[in-house]
Order: sequence, then structure tokens, then C-alpha cells
Amino acid sequence: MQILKTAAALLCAALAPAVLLAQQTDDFVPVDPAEHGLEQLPAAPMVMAAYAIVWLILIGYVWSLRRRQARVELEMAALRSRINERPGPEPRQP
Amino acid sequence: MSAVLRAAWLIARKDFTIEARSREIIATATFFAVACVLVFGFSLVTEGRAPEGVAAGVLWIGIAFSGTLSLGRLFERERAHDTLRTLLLAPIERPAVYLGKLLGVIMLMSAVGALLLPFTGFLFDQAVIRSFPGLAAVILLGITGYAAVGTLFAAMLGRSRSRDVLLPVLLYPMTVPVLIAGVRATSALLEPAGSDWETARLWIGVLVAFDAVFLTLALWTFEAVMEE
Amino acid sequence: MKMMMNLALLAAALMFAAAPWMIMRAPQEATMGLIQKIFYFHVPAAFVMFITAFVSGIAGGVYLFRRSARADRISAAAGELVVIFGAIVLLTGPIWARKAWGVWWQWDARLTITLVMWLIFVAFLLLRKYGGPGSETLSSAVALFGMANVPFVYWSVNIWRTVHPSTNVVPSLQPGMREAFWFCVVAYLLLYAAFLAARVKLEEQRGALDELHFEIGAD
Repeated sequence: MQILKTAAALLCAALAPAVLLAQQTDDFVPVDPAEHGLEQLPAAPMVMAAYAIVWLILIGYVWSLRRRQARVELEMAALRSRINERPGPEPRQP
Repeated sequence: MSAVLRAAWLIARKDFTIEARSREIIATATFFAVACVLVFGFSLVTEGRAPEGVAAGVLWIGIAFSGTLSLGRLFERERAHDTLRTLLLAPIERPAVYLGKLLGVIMLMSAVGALLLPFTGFLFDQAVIRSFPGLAAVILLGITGYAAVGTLFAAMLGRSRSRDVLLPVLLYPMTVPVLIAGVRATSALLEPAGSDWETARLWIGVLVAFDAVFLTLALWTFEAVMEE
Repeated sequence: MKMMMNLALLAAALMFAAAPWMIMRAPQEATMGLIQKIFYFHVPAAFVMFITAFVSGIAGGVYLFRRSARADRISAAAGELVVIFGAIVLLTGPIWARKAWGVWWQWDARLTITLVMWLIFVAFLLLRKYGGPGSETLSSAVALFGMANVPFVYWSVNIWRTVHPSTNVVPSLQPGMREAFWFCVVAYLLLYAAFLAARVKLEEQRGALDELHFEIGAD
């Protein structure tokens, strides 16, 4: 646990300069459109689409994790109440 | 060590005897492989001629597909009479059981391969006879690698549901290196201008390394995997 | 633990939200142009995919020989994440390839090995889901074998000609590109840690649930 916390702190510390550095880089480098005139496929929508796919997959995964977690918790609660209702051995508290 | 090998040999001989009596697997697997080759032939041949360099691929697809079939049947037989459990309970080293089954699988697959090689060479007009020793070595090495992984997986899947579908699903991605190396080595040996031994040797090296690593890994994990 | 997990998730979410600005600010690549920006979230996903494949394989090996339930949970969780991050790699890659190489797919070493690894871990998940009793042991062996397979697939496919930008690209990144790239790598790693922890927890709860079921069945 302690290690994790230290690692997280170190990560944050390491990240701060990275963000600062990135802001110091040059602004957009203008590209001569004539150079890229040959390109038929629009790059921007493709990059955007790729980025959207990443987000969709990650959000979808978070959603599926939440759903599975909720289902397990629901089932757990139902089982516990069933155990508590019946006489017999003490209900276990995990 | 010799006790292990002896036990393995006895298990392989048992499978061989059963198979020699019924010839069930060998007959079905061989004709399945022939059917595969024909299906690929029909889908690839245009205007009466096969495109160049497909023969090796077709041969290996036939070997791989019929291999899964043989593996499935061989372990189904053990499962039907619950004899694998008996074998595992026998007072022999566990790796001996694996080695024995592996030997049986290799024998079966080699028999199919021995028929499939001339058949493919005949249909696709390949110089099989010229480079026969090399081809036999490549096929045997490829089959060994394929069977090394396949025997372990088929043995593990013996107890699980939907094993018929899961075996190919697990085995094909895992044996991609065998397939690539086998096909490349075979087509290098079948070059119409003469066998390209330099390329073939490179791929044979890949096959030998794969066999060695996965055979060791399977022997090492078999005991742990088969624990109930 | 739960707090750390949420913290990592939050940090990753913030970083992912900030990433577009970083990526936009990074200089454009000379030959590939704007499409090269996919690099910033394609390559880190591939990093994470291979890390998690190795985590799953090693945990599988530990489970096989030590029978530790925890190792099995980690192996299952990491194996599932291979499929998730692999899907990101395999979906963003072709978009980049379509623009940069003119084709959706190339039978190149890195692409092929990613696909093969992804397939192996899809099989791993199928086995865990449909394999029935005893599939934990089997899937551990599959993860272990899948891991051992990496060098072979790589080696065998690499002998074919390779068109993929080599891994040397990463250490030689230009300033501006470099920060954005490592920013994304860290974002992905944090996200991976959070996902792994959450998924392991889910598996633990499932284990507890099974135990409870067993207890009820036993009375």
C-alpha cells in the first residue's frame, strides 16, 4: 500500500514537468498545403475517428465492469439475506 | 528416465493397437484432409491451373485441420471410457502419459501426412519426389510441434464443455509459427528451379526451436494442468 | 485500495481528456502529416497490451504451480485487458495504415503478432467462459503458452519484410512529440492499473459469491 502511494506521488511529480514542457513547445507548425495536396484521404477525421474508437472502447469497458460488479453485489446481497433468514450457522461477514 | 520412456511407449502402443483394429481415426482424418485439399483446390484453381506456390499452404492446412480432428477423436476415445483418469492414476510418471499420447498423435498425423504429401504433389504438380527427404523432415518437425501443443490442450480440454470447438480456437493461433515455418520451408523445397536449401534450413531452425521449447513447456506443465 | 483505484481511474480520465491538447500541440510529422498523431494513442496501447499479456502469462504460471487463487484472478483480469487494449491497437492501427501505407492491413511482423496475441487471449476468455469446471487451470496454461509464443510468432513473421515503423522511433522522438508520447504512455499505464485492480476485485467478489453459494448448498 505504502509503495503504491509513493509510486503515485512519484508519478504525479514526474508528470508535472512533462505538462509544462509540452506547453513550451512551438505552436502549430504550419504545413504547406501544396505539399499535402496529393493526399486524397482527409487525415483529421481519421485521427478523430481513431480517438473516438479508443474512448468508446474504454468507456464501454468501464461500463461493463460496473454492470458486472453491480450484478455480483446484487446477488451477494440476495444470498446474504437468504442466509440470515434461515436459522443455523452464523452468517459470514466477508 | 527409461521407465518413463517405456511407459510412454506402452501407452502409444495401446493407442496404436486400438487404431490398428478399428482404423477409425486414420480413415476419417485422411479423408477429411483429402476433402480439405480438394476444397482448397476448387477455390484456388482458375482456368485449370493452380496459382503458383499455393501447394505448400494447402498441404499444411490439410495437416493442421486433420490434426485437430485426430486429436479430438483420440481424446474422445479416452473420455468415453474414462480411461485417461485411469492412466493418470497408474503408478507411472505423469509426463509418461503425455509422451505416450504425443507419440500416438504424431504417428497418426504422420500417417495422414504421408498420404497427403504425394496427393497434394500430384494435384498441384509439385516436385515431391526430388526433395522427399527434406520434405519428410519438415513435415515431421512441424507435426511434432503442432502435436506437442495440441496433445496438452486436448488432454486439458478432456473434461470441459464445448471442447470440440475450443480445441481449434486455442490451437490455431498458438501454432501460427509452425504453420508459417512449415509452409515456408515446404515451398522453399518445392521451388520449381530446384530446392532452396538455404531458406529451408532457416525455417527448419525455427521449427526445431519451437518443438524444443513447447515440448519442454508441455512436459513441465502437464502434471500441474492435469491435477484435478 | 478502493481509493487508490478510483484515484488512478480519475487521473487516467483527466490525462485522457488532456491528451488531445498535448497531441495537437506536438509537432506534425514531416512525411506522414496529421495522421501520425494516431501514434500517441496507438503505441501506448500496444505497450500496455504486451505488458498485460506478460502479467497474465506469469500469473498463469504461478497459478499452475502454486495454486494461489490470487494469481488466477490476476491472470484472468490481465487476460481480459489484453483483449481490450488489443482491440484499441487493432482498430486504430488500420486507420493509420490506410492513410500512411494505402492499405488497411499489412502482413507485417508487429501487426501479425498483435493479431495472433489478441486471438490467443480471445481464446483464453472463451475458454474461461465456456470451458466449464477446471477451466482456470487450462486457461492459465493457455496464458503461459501464449506468452512463450511471442518470440516465435515475432521471429517467424519478422523474416518476412517489415514495413512497420521500427521501435527505434520511440527513443529518437523529437521534443514536443516526446512529452506528448510519454504523457499518453503514463495515462494508459494508470488506466491499466485501475482496470486491473477493478477487474481483480470483481473476480474476488465472484469467488466470495461462489463460496457463499457453496455454503448454502452445503447446509
